[in-house]
Amino acid sequence: MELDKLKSTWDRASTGNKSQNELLMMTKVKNHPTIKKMKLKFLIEAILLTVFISVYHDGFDGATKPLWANALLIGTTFLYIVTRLVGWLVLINPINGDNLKNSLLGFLLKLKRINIGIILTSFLFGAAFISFFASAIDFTKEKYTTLFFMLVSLILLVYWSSRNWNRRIREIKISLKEFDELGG
Amino acid sequence: MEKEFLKIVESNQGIIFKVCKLYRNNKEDQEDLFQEIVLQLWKAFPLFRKESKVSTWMYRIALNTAIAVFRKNKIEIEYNETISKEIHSGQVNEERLFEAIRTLNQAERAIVALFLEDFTYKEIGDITGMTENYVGVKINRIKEKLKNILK
Repeated sequence: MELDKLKSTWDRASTGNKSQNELLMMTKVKNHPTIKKMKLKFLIEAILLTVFISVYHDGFDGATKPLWANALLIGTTFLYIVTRLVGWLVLINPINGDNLKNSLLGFLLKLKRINIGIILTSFLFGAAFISFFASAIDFTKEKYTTLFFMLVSLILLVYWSSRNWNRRIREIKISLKEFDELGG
Repeated sequence: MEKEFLKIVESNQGIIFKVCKLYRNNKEDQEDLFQEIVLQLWKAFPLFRKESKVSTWMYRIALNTAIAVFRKNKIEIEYNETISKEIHSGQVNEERLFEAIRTLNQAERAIVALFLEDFTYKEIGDITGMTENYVGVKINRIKEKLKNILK
């Protein structure tokens, strides 16, 4: 295909026929499938953790555990929820600069920061959770084995939490490299 | 403000439509991206300075959204493998053009879209963040690539 043909094909390409009403619906987050899914995931996580924090004291004998273990559990749960809220806000605002390269750089920086936050809060939450249950027990061999498996689960939790973020970071890095190679 | 926004987007929706076809392979993903772009345009609209062209602003936001939002890579790889067969046998048409452009990388797709839309090298540089000279060099390379793909 000659390039002038390419240009005329581009000019003749279909242009869509959305009505103003349809476009108006698209400006609302509640009608947006991807963002709605992300929001729902965050809300479920936040509600489950809030319910856990409201009932753990009675349900898991919080009164018999040291104050620091209780405080750590509540504090890290709060941090866990806040970090994910910030993460959601970062994801729904991908425009971060006045040109593509700057915007991607800004977005990448935010993604990296939030990824560190996600890893840290996942680790802290898991550690606080284990500390809470381990703080008032006498350790036996079996209990050490249980603790070992809990620690392994904690590492897996941290890995799973950051997996999607790492994938996003990798993709943005690739795009930026393409712009860098172009821009020199 | 809402009415003005809707009017602008309605009469320039071809820009969003084309960007979606450049960056997503199937109808469902294109539709999702279309919605995402409209939402980002709506959020960016209060900061839109009327002295710049509407098309410049819309392309900047649309391309940025298409590149930055999460996408499924697997489909893209499968798709690219089937393109060459169709390109060499089929008639010149819109789908072939978009399929050919989708074989380029993310940055090249942005450049070629802006080039085909008759933006100057300077404007392309302003939108992408690249120097004018490199835009020129790159466009020549992209032309060669497309020529080989579409011959």
